[in-house]
Amino acid sequence: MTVLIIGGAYQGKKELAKKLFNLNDDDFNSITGKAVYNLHDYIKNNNIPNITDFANSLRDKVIICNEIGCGVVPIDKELDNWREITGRVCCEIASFADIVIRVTAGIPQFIKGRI
Amino acid sequence: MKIIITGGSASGKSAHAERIICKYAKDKLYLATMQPFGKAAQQRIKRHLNLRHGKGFDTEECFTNLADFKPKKIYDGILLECMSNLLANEMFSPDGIGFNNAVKHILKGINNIEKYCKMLVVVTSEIFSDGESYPYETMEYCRLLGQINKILFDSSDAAAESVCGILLPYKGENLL
Repeated sequence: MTVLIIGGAYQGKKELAKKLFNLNDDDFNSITGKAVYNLHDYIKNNNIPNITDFANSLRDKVIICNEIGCGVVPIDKELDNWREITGRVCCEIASFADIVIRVTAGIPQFIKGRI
Repeated sequence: MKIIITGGSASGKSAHAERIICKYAKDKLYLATMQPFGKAAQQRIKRHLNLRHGKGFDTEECFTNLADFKPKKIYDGILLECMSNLLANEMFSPDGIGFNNAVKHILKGINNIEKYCKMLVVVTSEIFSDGESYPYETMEYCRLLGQINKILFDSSDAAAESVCGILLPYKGENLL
């Protein structure tokens, strides 16, 4: 099962993931583990040659990513590109995810699928 | 009929806007407001062209002064993409009307193009949630876009936000 959890920073996404999907902190240790924390940071620090391939490599995981696209478009090209790639990756993951949850102040909105 | 689609960067807004207009309109115009300056803009334009390919859109450009824009004919539907670029052009480009009259002028433009179609879909943008402080000009830009979005949402038959490609309706859900 693929789960995507999105929302602003500091909204309780990880706590919610741990509670809903029986995960502990160690589960979030690596991009190849069963859960991925702060996908937007990973994308910032790593080269993503192909968005679809990268999204597919995250199937069957619980993925947590900040929604970073809802601010003023940065003048800095790299930051602009980072937001673009993060958004596209999230769109791709959401397209095949079983569940997509948007978390605001700890409250989950199930915007795709149900538990 | 008027439908507004908003969302953050790379949130799948355009795909939904195109899907919706294709549902209602056979004869349709894509009205582009993004000026093709720089590599990033050109890449975005190319991506949008690919996305629209084969869907039967005419394409025209309008960077400023939508109030005087006259399409070549009357359409079933017009897709205006996007409001954030149009406002930036009106406020910051040499051809623009400037800060003071930008909102009024753009709303007049919306009324104008509604005369040339049965349905209008407008793509706008969520730029309000990074919590940053910017110089006066940028903050004014955010304020005026917020003002325009509010008026557009008010006057629309349906409005929704795209989040990771998932459409979250605010009003008129059955039309989306």
